[in-house]
Amino acid sequence: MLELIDVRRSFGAIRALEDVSFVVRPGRLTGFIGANGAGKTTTKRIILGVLAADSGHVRWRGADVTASDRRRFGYMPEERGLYPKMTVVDQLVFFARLHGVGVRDARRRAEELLGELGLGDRAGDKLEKLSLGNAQRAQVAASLIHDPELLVLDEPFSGLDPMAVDVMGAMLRRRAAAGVPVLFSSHQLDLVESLCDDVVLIHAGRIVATGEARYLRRTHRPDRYRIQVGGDAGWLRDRSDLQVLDVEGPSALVELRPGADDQALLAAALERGPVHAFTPVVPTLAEIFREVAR
Amino acid sequence: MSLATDAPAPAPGAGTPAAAPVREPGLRELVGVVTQRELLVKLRDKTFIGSTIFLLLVVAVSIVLPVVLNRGNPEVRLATVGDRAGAVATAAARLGVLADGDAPGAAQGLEAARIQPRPFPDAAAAQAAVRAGTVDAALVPDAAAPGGLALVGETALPGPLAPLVAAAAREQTLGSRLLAAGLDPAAAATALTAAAGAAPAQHLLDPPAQDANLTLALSLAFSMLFFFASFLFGMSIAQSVVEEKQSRVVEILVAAVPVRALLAGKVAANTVLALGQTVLLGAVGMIGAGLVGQGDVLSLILRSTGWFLLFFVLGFIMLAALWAACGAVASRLEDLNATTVPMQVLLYLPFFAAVYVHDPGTLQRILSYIPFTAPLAMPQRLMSGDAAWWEALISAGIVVVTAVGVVGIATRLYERNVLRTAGRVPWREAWNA
Repeated sequence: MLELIDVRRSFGAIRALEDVSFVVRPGRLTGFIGANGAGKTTTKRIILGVLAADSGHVRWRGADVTASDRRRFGYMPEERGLYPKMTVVDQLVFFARLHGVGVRDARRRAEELLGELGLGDRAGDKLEKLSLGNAQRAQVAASLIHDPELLVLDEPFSGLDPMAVDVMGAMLRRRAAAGVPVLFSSHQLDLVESLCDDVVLIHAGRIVATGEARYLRRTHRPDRYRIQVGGDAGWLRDRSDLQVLDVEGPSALVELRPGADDQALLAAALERGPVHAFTPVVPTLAEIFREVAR
Repeated sequence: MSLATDAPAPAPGAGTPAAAPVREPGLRELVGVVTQRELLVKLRDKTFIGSTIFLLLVVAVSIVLPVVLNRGNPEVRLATVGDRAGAVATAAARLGVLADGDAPGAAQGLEAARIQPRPFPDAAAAQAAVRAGTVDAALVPDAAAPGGLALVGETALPGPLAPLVAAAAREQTLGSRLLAAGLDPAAAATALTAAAGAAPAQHLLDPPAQDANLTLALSLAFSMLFFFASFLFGMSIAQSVVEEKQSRVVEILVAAVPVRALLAGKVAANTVLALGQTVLLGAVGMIGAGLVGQGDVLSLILRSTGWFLLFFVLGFIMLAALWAACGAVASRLEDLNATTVPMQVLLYLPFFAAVYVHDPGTLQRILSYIPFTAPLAMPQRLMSGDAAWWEALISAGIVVVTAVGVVGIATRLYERNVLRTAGRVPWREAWNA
């Protein structure tokens, strides 16, 4: 497990990170979301040791992370780049060797990985000859070449077509299933929502929400229900245990006040006639994100 | 096998061990991997291969060509008018051949030339031939001094000609006077030989160790090799640093490898390449010199090469680290023109100093101990026999100490700026970042 504890970092007078704390658990995909400039890249650079924190701790498996731990991390930075004039396979072997993998194993791993990513037939091509999407896959391969024990990926899905998104998602899932903690950022919040087990939401250098994605969505705000009744739903306005957010004929969206009982509301609705729908409305991550970032 | 739970409880050791056998690579191994990549990229680079071949050709041609052009001695076509001019020209031609070689005798002190006498009917025809360029000069009866001869050229007389003709005329006149005085021909010939042998032999109390021109040419060649290698391979280090910044690959590298391993790998690879190319050029030069029979060049190179290479490597490493720092403060290849200005100054000034101050003396002695001029000036002094071996060691020590300091400065600049990809970094900021 990776833990960040009260990490702070300033650039001159600008506070980039303010007491950032969260965990990335093994076996789980953790989505790291936040607006541009919220501090995602700085956080990731600190995890990887590319930047130093002003204070606070990065802990790996219960101890402060060391350079040799970090050598077993896999990293795909925000600013993409490999050597344009080197062949895909050569760069992968190079990166593997930097991480301590022997030449022969590196070659074998590179072939496997490129096969897995559907890039096997481009292994001998120079990077500059690849399309954007294929270069992106090569980039992911570079971060996975040494079988990292932790994966930190910046926008791994950007620039990928829907098929490639599926391949990439499945691949991250497999790493997570093998026990690797995976932290990735993405602006494609629907993807984060469908893929991630956990979510870390950062805004203006502070962590504003963190935890299991389902739980976060349920607990982020008071419960909301979409209600569809037989007659006019206007009577809902008179109840004190809820707030009506929207009503139109027989249909309404309500938010229960703290402590209110949804079953009591349902019972009251049934007393007045048929109830066609009584659906909890869980906010999407995008909604939460917009709300927080506002 | 994972301990994935909903509770954010610490789960040490929960990650899977990596499937591929991964060892913790040592610093030396990392430097080796970086070095190897740099070498491979460069050795596969067509521009690099092409420029190396071009340089080799230049060296080969510059050694062989002058020798081929100078094969034999200069040829002088000399028009003669009259029997006496013909006889003098024939004697001068004999002296011109004798002068080739160091044998003392009649031709001592004369330059060799292949004089080819061509008889002409009269002075006017001979002069017309000189004007037309079909002969280089004419030896004609002197109109002003009856019985005398005049040497006629167009704008100038060929260098070795006049002394040869003068010596031949002297010999002729002396010989005919001796005969006229009643000496028999054999005795006259003996007298002439004795007179020629009477020319004093030449001795120098303090002869130069080698041919001074040769030493100068060679030390100039060494200086140029160092200058160009430092410049070209230094620039290539800076470019390789910027390319990693520009292609953004550097962030992955820095996450995996200590920055000083990257720096060391680049410096090591380019030192190997620079040294390799220089040795190759030197070898071609030596083979060329051997083939065209310049044995003295060969032995001088062999004697001086060890020191030159030592100073070459030390000086190169000292500068190479700084080149990397120049690359680190640039963001794009275009920035290099500006950020490498200090390096250009550090190369040009010592180079010109070493080229202009090539005579042994206090100034050259001082230059041979200043770290940036030492790699140029000390081999020069050693070659001209002006410096003892221990002086070279002291100078080498100074370069090493400077190199250590410079590498420290460069590492700091490199570490602090290699991730700054937005624009050129001012030096002060680069240092304090």
